[in-house]
Amino acid sequence: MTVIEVNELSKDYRQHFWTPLRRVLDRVTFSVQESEIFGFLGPNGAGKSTTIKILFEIIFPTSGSAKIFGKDVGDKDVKAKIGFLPENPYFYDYLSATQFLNFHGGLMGMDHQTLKRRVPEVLELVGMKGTERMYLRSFSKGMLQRVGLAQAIIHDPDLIILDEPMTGLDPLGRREVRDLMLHLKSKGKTIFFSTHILSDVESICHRVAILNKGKLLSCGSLDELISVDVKSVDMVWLQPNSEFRERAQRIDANLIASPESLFMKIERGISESKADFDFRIQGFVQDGLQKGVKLQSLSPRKESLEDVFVRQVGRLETRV
Amino acid sequence: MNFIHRHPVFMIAHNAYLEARHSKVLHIAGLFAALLILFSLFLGEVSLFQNEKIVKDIGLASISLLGVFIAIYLGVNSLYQDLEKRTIYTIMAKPIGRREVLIGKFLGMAFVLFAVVVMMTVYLYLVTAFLESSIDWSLLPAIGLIFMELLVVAAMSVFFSSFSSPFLSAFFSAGLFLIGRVSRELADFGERSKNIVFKYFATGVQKVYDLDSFDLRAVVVHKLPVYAEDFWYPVLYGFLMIFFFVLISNELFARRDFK
Repeated sequence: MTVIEVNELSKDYRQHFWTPLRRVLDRVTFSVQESEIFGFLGPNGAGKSTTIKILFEIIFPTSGSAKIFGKDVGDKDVKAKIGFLPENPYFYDYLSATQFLNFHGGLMGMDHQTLKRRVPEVLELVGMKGTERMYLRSFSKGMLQRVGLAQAIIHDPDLIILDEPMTGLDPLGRREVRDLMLHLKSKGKTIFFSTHILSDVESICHRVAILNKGKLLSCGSLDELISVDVKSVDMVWLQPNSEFRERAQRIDANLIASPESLFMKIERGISESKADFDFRIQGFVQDGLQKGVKLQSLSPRKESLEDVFVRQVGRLETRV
Repeated sequence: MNFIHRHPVFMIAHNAYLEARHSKVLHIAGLFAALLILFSLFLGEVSLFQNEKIVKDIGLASISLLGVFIAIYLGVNSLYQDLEKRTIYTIMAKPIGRREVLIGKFLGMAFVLFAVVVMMTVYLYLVTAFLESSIDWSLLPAIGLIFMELLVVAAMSVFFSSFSSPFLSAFFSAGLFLIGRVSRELADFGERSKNIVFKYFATGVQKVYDLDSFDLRAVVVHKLPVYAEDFWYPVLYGFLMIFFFVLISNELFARRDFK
């Protein structure tokens, strides 16, 4: 089942009424399926937050449409099934954590009894147990992020949309948020989150969309985006003789040489087939061994999400 | 009753009330108005047999002045702060419409203004208790109309804040408030003017926009009779004005992008 359906979404902004219109989102189309963790990737200014704002009618699209659970994004029944954590959230700091969650739960239509049970539950889930009576003004950035996450899941939504949820969190906090996302996913929830922290995406996402300068560059599963083929091979040779060193310098490779060892990174050519590359590496290794040089290690390197991201984002001339 | 208490509009209103209660600016303004009323006691002493009148006149003027300041301050800041600090984002993600948010905010302001007027009224009666042995209930219609006028000013400020910055909104609101307060003088000028355009403009403005009609201060302080129409016509007019401003604010607020 399709949970989010974004179709040809565009947004034009005007800084002031006398400045020209600037396109910040350009015919973006993608969909998010039920029970998946979907990563929305892009550098700053790519249009990630703009897309998310449109999903909540915080801003309106210039053209195109967005549907959630098959209905228009402004629908109140739809909103009741979504939890949302905005980027760099700021909340009413004169409220305690309990008052804050009661307020947001109340707006979701939750009754007093349910909130009484649910508030400690979600605070524990986000690692904020014991802060029930503490005021938000005394919270650190990371604590605000966590309590924001708590308000996003207090009503047990089917879809959770998180805009840069790892911002402001230390490595431990990031790990906990990742675990929480996986926990929610295991309960059948759909999670859509924007980020530029690629390791987070690689470790938990099923599918990703990469956005840059308002354009969707690619969308698909990690397997589809990241090539399974070997892109380069790292080798460390011990006690290389001068003949081998000369041979190594003649081939197209990055070298780091010391008197005792030689590090080599041989990259696969753009138009080189996998078989040709394998043959080239095999030949070079055999040659080295025949010359009596000891091969300490050989590590084939596959493409990472970071490589995909840099390759795709690098297509466009400059970043905003 | 529980339905009302849990209704999103009232939850937003309650939160807006809590927000205002924590504002240091409003506490300082309240203290200033309280000191002004206290000062009127000394001013009354130097006047000739006018003690009570001076205290009541300054007291009512202080309630009005403080109220107008709070109405404009909250009106222009309440929505703007939510947009600027982006607290509105999490609220917009809830099953609540933009119109309900704006009406909730306005109701919250109305609660604050009501609380301020009640507190200042009690304080004024305590101060006048030094001068009179009995409570002068005739001040209440004037105070009621001050409250009505404050609601109009708050609605006006919300209207301006729905499309402009706090500074401009405050400037426009204060300007429109002053025009409303001198609309009768403006009409008098117009009547005597030889410029036909100005004449129709000035008298026309007074016919549709007259905040002077909310001012019963001179009448109650001088113990003149207050007729029913002196009170109920302005109340009706006030409700119409509030309806007008909130309706337009709602339409503007519902269409704008929150960047």
